Amino acid sequence: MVEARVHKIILPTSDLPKAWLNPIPVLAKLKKELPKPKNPVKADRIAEMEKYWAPSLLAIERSDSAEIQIPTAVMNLLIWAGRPTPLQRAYILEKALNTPAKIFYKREDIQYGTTGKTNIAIPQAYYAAKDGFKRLVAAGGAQWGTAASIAARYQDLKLDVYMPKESLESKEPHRIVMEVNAAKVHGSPSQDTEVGKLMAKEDPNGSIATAFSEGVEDASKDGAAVIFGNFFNAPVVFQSVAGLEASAQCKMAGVYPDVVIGSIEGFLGLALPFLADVAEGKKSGTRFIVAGSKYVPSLTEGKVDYDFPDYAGLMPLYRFHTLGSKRTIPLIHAGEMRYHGVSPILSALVEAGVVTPKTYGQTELYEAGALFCRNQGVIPSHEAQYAIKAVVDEAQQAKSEGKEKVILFNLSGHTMLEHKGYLEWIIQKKLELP
Amino acid sequence: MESKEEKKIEKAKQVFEAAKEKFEPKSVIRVDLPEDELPTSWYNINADLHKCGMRTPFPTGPGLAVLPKIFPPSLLSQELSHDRWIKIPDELLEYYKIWRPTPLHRAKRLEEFLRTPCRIYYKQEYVSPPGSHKPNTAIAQAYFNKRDGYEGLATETGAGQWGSALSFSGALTGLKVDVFMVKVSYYQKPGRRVLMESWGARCVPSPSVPPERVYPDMVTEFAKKVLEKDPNSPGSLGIAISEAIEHALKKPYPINYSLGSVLNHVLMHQTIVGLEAKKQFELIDEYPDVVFGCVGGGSNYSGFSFPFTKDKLDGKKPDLRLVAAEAEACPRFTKPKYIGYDTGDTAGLTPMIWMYTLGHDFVPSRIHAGGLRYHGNAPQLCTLVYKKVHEVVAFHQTEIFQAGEILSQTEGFFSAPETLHAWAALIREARRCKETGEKKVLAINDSGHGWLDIRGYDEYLKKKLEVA
Repeated sequence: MVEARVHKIILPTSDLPKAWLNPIPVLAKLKKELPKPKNPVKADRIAEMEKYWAPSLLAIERSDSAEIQIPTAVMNLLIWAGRPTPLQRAYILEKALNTPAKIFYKREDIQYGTTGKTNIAIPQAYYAAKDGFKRLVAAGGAQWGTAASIAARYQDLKLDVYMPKESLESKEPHRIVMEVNAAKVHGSPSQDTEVGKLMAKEDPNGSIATAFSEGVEDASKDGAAVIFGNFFNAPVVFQSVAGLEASAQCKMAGVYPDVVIGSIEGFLGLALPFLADVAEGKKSGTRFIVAGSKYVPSLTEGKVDYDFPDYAGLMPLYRFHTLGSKRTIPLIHAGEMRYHGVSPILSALVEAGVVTPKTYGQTELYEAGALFCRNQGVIPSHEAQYAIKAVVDEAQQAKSEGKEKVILFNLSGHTMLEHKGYLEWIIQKKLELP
Repeated sequence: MESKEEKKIEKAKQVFEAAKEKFEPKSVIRVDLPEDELPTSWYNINADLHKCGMRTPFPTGPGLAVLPKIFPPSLLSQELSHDRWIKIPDELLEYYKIWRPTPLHRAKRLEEFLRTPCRIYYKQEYVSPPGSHKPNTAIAQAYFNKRDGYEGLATETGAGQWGSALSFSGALTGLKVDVFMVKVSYYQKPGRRVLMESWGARCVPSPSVPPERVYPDMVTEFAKKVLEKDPNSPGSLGIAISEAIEHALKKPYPINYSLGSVLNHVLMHQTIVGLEAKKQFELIDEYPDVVFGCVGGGSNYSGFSFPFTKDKLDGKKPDLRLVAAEAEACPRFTKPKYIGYDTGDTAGLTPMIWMYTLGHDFVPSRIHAGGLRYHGNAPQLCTLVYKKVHEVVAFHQTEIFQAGEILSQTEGFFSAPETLHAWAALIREARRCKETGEKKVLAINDSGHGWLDIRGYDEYLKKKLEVA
């Protein structure tokens, strides 16, 4: 006889969170003011935002209220695309690591877009449609484009996607998904915008930052709305649904995490409610780890200063950990992390010492990814590997300390739409970059 | 023991009632089944099949003698059993719980798009880590082989779905997996091979010899023979099966053979899908009028439909319709060469089984739904089709990708080309009901996602599907 164990903690669809959590008041309670964006010397970039942001989204971006109600229509669509997602216990991995740690992971990978990005895309498309927009411009990585294409179809909006040119080539299946969903896909820097033509000479592979610039130019032209999958506050607000669910599920399981872990890309949404608990003094001693690439070491080696979120400087200046907006970003496989900085909120949290950054090289990530998939089944996306590597390290530490700690992490996506990295790992054995 | 069982039933009832209160059938989008409601037995249709007026003719031929050498005793006894319910071991349930129960989803946006009065529900089998229904039997086969003392499994794979499922299952249960992958797919779809190897399996192109065959203990005589005749052979599923069986018979270590469809025990393992779906329909007070699935070897469709078929055979649901969808390019049900005994592989190593067949040397054209390119079908399903308990329809691949585009744009998910055959059948029925105004409940097994076979969609968009 084996003991019957609960592997997945399922939140009923009727218990989907009714409101998102806003990170700004959380930050304020941690005695950390979020620095306001600034204009560069020559242009009023802050006023220009109104040209390419949907008003409702800009209101959320600038909101100070602790919670923001989720409209019923959005709740239904979130359920559509796979929410609430299960919280799963990694029993087999724990056994393989022989660790006393209890490892829980949030299954953001089972959603329709293969990642948690639909959490952000669905509300943005909804608000843009409500504000009367007919066309969206998505600027970001391949996963973001795929999520945006699903969300745009839900609202019957036209969609142009700007994503790094290199990702377009190495992650072709994403392009096909977007095209089936009637989106027009541009590899940035493209020849389709003026700023793209200029950037193509300097950074032909492109990055998330070049996609941002092109998205802004394209949308400003004829009154479309740009939607962003990272960096800004609004995406963090929308992503908080994952953390709120996880928080409820932890209660159902009768546990509270000692460590919360995510990759730069998937951390904040999951961690926010737990950060709020710390900010409100309900909990102390919870540790937060955000994992990034050693080839894009924005949090560990970047300087905290005002910089442009985009390559060409078409947006206001924000204060965050940056490697410089004109930096050529190495071709790491985690396409959503090919960006010169992190969101100002994450930056402030790291600066305040609440969140600890870690960086990894690619080979160790794939080894961690293989360990995970050979025990828990799901082959993680390149981004999710970062979190897993940090989890494995924590679990091993727990073993050497003999501590029974609870680890929670975000399995932000799986790799079925992008396996070039795994190909290089297994067949060509060339993962480390010069 | 008795009272413990009763307590369990009592608890289950409470969970059901609590869940029922939360649901309003008309507005429900997704029906989740709690983990402790996971079925604990498989349904074996052998116990009820005779009610259709016929028993499946017994397999025959020299291949029968091979079976005990390549299958473990526990699976062989399941293959021949006539017990209606076969208990799922507790350890195996633990593995199932990694992804099961899978959700039952209402396709309301599709309904709105089609303007149909029907209510459409689909079972999301794509949520398993390898992305299809295949691990339902793969993990069971791996588990029983391990329990009976074997250390590995040999298998063949065409497009790679079955090989992936078995590699995943081998990784979880601690069993080695040796996959012979049809050579042309091996090089066309490196992504699939990479997934299998990420799960720790060994995957080689079939046919091949060293140095191309990198693992010396996986060399086979049959591959040498094939390559002597045709050094440029692109391989076929038949050759790969023969290689895998030879490898399993040679036993470089205690290794068996594993098949992903057709056999009785494989279909039985898949009934967990239909059993879950029945419970989920019960939760929302619905019962399907028409059940859809696609057929290659028959396992996903049978697994979903057999628990419902039982009600029809028992006379409880005489009007229930069960519709299997196949590819026009491989029409063993709609245009069979003959109905009778044929072998399951090209070389003729397997027993002769009774089925609808296109002939074991039939070579279907290279449609994208690789999983439907099989010359025969499961004998149990063939019997039910023969006695007209189940219906069959066939589709051309352009129509199925149209269905795929509609699905992606309304519901937001990507189904495998195989699964799209079932969706095409469902959409046709939903449109017919729009004309007649019938408010039917349509249920479909969404057997797998299409993310790894996405090129077919690309060719559809570029209108390149009509070649050959």
